[in-house]
Amino acid sequence: MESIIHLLTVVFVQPLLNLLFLIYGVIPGHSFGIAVIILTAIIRFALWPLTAKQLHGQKKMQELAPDIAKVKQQSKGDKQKESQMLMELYKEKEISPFSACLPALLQFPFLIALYFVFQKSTHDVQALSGLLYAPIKSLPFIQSIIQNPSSFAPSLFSWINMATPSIPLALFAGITQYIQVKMLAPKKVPGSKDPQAQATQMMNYTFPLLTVFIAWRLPAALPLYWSVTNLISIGQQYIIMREEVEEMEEVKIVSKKTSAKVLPKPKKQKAKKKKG
Amino acid sequence: MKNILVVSIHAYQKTLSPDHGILKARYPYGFCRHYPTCSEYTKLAIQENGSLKGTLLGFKRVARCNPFVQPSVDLSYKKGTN
Repeated sequence: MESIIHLLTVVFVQPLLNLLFLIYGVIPGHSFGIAVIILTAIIRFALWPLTAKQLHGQKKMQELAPDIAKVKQQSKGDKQKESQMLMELYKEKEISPFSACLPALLQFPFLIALYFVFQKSTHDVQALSGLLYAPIKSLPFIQSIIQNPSSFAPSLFSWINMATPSIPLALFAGITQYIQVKMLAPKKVPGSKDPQAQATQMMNYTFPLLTVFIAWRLPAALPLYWSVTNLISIGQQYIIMREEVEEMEEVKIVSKKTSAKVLPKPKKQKAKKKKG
Repeated sequence: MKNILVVSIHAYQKTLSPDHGILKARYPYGFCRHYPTCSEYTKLAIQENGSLKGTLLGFKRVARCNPFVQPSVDLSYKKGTN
């Protein structure tokens, strides 16, 4: 167990921690809050292609909803048959709707690492200096903090203390989370009593509330990280949804112009032909 | 050992799993690209092949669960298929 923790520290925690302190040490004004925002943005933009792909898939799934419901009815609860038929349907429509377990699992050590980074960097300057690489430690600003730990005052615009819980930031994280989840929720069909749709509705509230509840007691750097993540996701979702709408419009216009029976083929997704 | 593993996978499915537990609502069309899902596959693999081989099969399955692999109905946890 000891060695696993050590390995995680070296592979995940240390690089993130050093990146954070590199940013902290070089940006003008040396605002810890700004450094957290920049680090978050770097992480999110690095993951952009992956998230974009997933969003495109989810969007297409929403359009396929009636077909999917039909398949579910036909298979009459036989899960294996249902999956088989759904996979054929997706192949036919050339969409790859699925997320995958491996990328999702890889995010866990990353999240835990960030937690340690913020926990350590906001509490224990001594333990921290042991984890910093030599070039980072020799940055003049970082050097002065290590020599004089009491001068370390991580804050956002010298307004919110990053080391202690902040209720406004926790609430802000919850609100941005709500908007982010709400944007993705399938459109409500009026009068429908689909239990799954109701469960989704519940989730729209449960998730943000859980976020606030957890963030309430954590160093404010974490809800700040979470808020920035949500804001970037919201922007990304907005851009991708608009792209989809424009693509649909184009298809409509072209088909009107040609007014032939042959519809133009929609843009093909890159065929993934690796063996499963 | 076998029971501990199966019970902990079951606990994961009821709570954190985006395919089985309360998070299912966020992914109404399913999360895992294969059938059965990774956790279900591993559970069945352990029940069929014992802790050691089952866990190994589970790891191999998670490795196969990435965007570059075509979704499939994957019944390779059964004894004698590999």
